[in-house]
Amino acid sequence: MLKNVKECFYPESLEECLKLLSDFKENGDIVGGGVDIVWRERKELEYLIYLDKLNLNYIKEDNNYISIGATNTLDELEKINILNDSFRNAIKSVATPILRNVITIGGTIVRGYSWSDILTIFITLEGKVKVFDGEENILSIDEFLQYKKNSKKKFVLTEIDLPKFDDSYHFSYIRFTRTGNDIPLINEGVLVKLNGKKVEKVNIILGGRPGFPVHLDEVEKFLLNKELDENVINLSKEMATKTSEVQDDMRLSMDYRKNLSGVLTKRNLIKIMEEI
Amino acid sequence: MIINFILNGEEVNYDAYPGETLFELLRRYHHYEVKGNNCKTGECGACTVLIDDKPIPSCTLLVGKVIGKRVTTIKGIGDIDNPDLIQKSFVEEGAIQCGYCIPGIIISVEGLLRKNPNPTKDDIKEALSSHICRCTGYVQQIEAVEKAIQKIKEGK
Repeated sequence: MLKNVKECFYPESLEECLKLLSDFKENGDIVGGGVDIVWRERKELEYLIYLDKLNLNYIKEDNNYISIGATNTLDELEKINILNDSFRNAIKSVATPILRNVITIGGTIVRGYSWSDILTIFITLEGKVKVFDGEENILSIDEFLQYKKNSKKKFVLTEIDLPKFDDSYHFSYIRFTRTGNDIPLINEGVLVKLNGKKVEKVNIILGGRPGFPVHLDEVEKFLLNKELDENVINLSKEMATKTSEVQDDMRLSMDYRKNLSGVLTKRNLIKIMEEI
Repeated sequence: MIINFILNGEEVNYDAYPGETLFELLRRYHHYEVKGNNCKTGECGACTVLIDDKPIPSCTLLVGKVIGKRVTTIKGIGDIDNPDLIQKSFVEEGAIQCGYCIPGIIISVEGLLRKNPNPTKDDIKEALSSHICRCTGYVQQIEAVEKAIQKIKEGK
């Protein structure tokens, strides 16, 4: 029970929603699925703003992008069939089916927990978000995390856009957890674009470090213009272990995370090599 | 605030606190409509209900999200006098011991079968992965779901 909540609001426009956020300041917040708000029991929260009347529950496609409305729950994302089911499988690995039925994609990205699976997956896939703060801004997830940190403006995240990938792209995502349904101790997504057999472009994103997800730049540079074979993958593993910027926390030591970053890189690249 | 929704087929209006969850509301008005509030984070699955046709942990769902929806609790599936096929199969297969987690599991299985009447064993395992049971070890529960599917197909 959020004992201090006094009233719920259902704005019918983004402008109205923004005004409510501005009026209530730290005493008001948007409810996505609500899981995080219920769990955190913030004492200062007095007003809840629901997005149900803003028609943000859609998945649309054009030639270049798949546009996902912010209030779609994660189970709806399982219907998006791209990258040979790898995207769908990555989403299905997050939390449990009943939680995926309630957690919204917009809420997850706005909360921006550093261990989030969704952040790592969408940064790897070069997702963009649409943010309304009086005007519409289109930002990469990285830019959005900075915007959220630095901007004093109130905002509503309205849409997440994923590029449409052709057959030359391959994706793999692995999360390492204590139990299957737990939050990740570390996670990694890899997106590879092949030109023939050679790597033309690659994103390797390490999340839950425990800081925000980052590129493994050295490994990405190393892999460019190489063919994926056992030797290249083993060298990538060593490089990831050596160069990954990870930290200690109460859940895992830095050394263990460093070793895991190499292992996840190897496993992701093997999965992609087997798919080719 | 007054909220209205369909509870087990009947339209209801409740005076709700704006900051309470569906679990808390149902417990206040119906006492035994949903099972224990074990974790309060949606991880254990004991308090799962169907919202429209999706199984959702009621302890994570604020009442403001329920307005106008169809809510089905374990009472809406069947009771001791009129159990449905899933409940019967769980009893017959010995898939129940203490019973704490079972209402949530039955709801998840009902949600699975509404979405996919012919689930594979992996689909069943995935649906049950939302629930923590510390008695049975899940094997009998998977067998019970398979038996229920068979019974539904045979129209028993």
